[in-house]
Amino acid sequence: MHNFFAKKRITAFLFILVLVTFSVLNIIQSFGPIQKTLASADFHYSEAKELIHELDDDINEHVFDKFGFVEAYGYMQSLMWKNEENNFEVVKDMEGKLHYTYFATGPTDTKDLSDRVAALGAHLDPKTKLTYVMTPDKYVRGYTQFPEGIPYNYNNETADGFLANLKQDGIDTVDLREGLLESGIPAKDLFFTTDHHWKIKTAFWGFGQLVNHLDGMYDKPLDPDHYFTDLNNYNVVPYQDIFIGSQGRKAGKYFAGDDDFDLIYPKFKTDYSFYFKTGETEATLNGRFEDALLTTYPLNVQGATYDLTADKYFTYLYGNQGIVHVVNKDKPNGLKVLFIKDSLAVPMISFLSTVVSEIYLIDPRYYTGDIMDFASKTDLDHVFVSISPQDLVDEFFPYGSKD
Amino acid sequence: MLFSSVIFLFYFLPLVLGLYYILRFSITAKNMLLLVASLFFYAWGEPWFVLIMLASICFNYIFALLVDKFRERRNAAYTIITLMLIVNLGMLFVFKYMAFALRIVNENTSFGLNIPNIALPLGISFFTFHGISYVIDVYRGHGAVQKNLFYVALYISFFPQLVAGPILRYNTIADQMVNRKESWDKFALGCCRFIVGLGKKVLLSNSMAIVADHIFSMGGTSDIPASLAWLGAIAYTLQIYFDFSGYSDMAIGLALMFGFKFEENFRYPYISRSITEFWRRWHISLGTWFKEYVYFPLGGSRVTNKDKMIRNLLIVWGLTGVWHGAEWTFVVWGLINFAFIALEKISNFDKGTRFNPLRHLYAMFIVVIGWVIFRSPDLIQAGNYLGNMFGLYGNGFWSETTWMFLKEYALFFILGILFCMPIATRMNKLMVDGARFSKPLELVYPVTIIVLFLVCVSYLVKGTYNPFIYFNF
Repeated sequence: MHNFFAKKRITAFLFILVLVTFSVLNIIQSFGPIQKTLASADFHYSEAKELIHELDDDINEHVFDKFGFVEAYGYMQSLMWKNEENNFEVVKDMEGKLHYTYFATGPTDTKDLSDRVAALGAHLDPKTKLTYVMTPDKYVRGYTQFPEGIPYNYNNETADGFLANLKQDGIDTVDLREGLLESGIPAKDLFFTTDHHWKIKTAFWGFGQLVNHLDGMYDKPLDPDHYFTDLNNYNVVPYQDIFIGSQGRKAGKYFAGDDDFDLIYPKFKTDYSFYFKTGETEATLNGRFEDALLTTYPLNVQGATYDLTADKYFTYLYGNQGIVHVVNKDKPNGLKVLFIKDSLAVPMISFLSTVVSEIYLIDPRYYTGDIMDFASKTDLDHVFVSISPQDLVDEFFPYGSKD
Repeated sequence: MLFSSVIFLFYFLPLVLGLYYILRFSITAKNMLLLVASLFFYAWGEPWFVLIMLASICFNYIFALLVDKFRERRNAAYTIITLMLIVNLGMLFVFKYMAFALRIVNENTSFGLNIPNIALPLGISFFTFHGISYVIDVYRGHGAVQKNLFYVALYISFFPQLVAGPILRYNTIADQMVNRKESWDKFALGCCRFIVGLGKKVLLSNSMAIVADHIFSMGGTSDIPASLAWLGAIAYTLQIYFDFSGYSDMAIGLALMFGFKFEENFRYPYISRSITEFWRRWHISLGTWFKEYVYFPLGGSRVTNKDKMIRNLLIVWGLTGVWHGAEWTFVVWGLINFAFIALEKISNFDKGTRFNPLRHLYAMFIVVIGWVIFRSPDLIQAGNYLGNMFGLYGNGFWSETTWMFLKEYALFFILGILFCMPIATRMNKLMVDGARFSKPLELVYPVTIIVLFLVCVSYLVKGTYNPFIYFNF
């Protein structure tokens, strides 16, 4: 019997040690956020549940060495050779790239969403053209393969149905999923492994495709000499093993690995004005492409690999802002365009800024104004809607509803 | 607050344990601390419903005083007990069953009654049963009446068992509230038990929940081949066991850390060879409660007439089914258990010793079928799911999804099935008995348990799927 209690006593001693150590470290870690929440709290009994919820969030978000635990979790998942983690939060394809997915039996009906885009088109000034730019899904048809049984979300089929509806309504579309495998970029390098976004070189290719499409629509080509769409006229700065994207942040790098990141910016002279406003935050920057449209903070940040501020994709145009206005001072007489977009389009749009005069960007998630009103009242030559296949949901189309 | 949460593990528990052992000089101070901590524990998740629990504590305290005072006057005592049952069960009815009852009325009449949307206070079935147990035990003289409201409050609200049991009878804990002794050995046992329970819940139950929830949510009569339906049923069978028994282990462990001794609530029910045996091993405290306060008062099995015994069983199992939730599925599940237990009693099946593997297969088959009905949102979906299990809708046998779930959760299925059996108990015995490998195993044990704890923490910090199965209760 002595043996029985001896091992339990040792265990209990170790347990207390671990418990007390982590408790103290956790309290230190979350003390500031808890204090902040309590300072701004409404202490009425009716608000108690809300306050408890906020404190719970503070505590869960500020666990000591949170990402150390996430790494450990990811490592265990990889030891079990798992292709999905945490209730299919992300899954791995046969190549090890991470994907968002869900169980679906077929494509989603998006007729209502395409009707909203059509309503937007009808609301625009007759001189303003409308194009839907379908950016590619990370599940690249003809290339990506999931391990047996891993659920597929039918994003591409949903996007097909959506584009078919738009075409039926006579709306111009560009489908950047087409020709992706013939782009010259190796298929394995089209998308980041740990992030749902396309790589910057793929976005640059998308920019070229978009310019080609627009050149067929306007009398005066945007890039007659193919100078601006030639990657040789840009600096490409590779950063090795530097990026853990949003999907990687969920599973940890031992499960997901990490990514290289290419920073691409013009070699040629540029002069921009960049304005953004999200909520109460607004700013204006002026200067060259790399000074006005890029922030190198995510590339230089140290010791916060998993922090949102370290997301390399947000290097371009400061990520997702409510509204952005980019003025290319070197092209005063070019096109004035508006993009209603999600995050995937951001680097592509920043490259497009080299061939147009002005670009407005609206992110439907963060813009609080009336998008249709803005589009019809602003002097625009072209409106683009660019929401990627995975985002074909209500949240990204808050306009033109029949309700 | 959940045991399997960061706030409980790294804020609430160390603070309460620390204060408790600082106050070890005074039992009153320790009990006061436990009461305050318990109310805080409940209020953290349910700031409004704590008032309902406090009301339950107050009126049961008064009923116990009255029943004690009028104990000698039989009619008065019966009236008080009846009133007490009306108030307790009435409260339970309003919060848990009224919407269900109104729905039945609407389905069978043209009244078109308005069905109110009443949220279910967490743990109401547990603290209601605690209250009833207290008053009846006082009436029966199985425990002295508490003149001090504070002790009644502590008994009903004691946080280790507050939300999901085990259901403590007052007479098993009355003395411990004033005369318990903490010891390092008790504490050590409690720690280990708590961590094992946490592991069962966070690793095994939650992982099985992912499989079960996905497969059950597919619903309908299409696209679920037999293998997938069986896999979902088995996953749920493992999920519910590791969830309940894990919670009980955590509760028993926590109680031990504070010097309390709770009775066992699960004894490896999936090794049973009959449904009767299954219920001797499954949720023992609930079975004991119904036996003590319903079955025995009705006459139990010691009745001259077998018809009466069957009637008594029917009442108990009808109530057991309904206690688990307000839906026909729970009623049917209760009645299935009743039917098989009654048959086993009539045929003395439970006492047989031949064909044990077949008996085990029979028991598990009925248990798994029962869990499918228990888990389904309604009887139609239960019927569809059972139909899929037996290939009634022509969906074939195998699918890629079956393989995927098996492959992705292989380790959890293997560990789940292994730890349903008394392997851990045998290994403990091996160590205690000083067998050949006892020394190395003895060293491995603490490391294993602490690593298990850290693994659980990594799952919790990561924010993995953590469903709370007790919302229905």
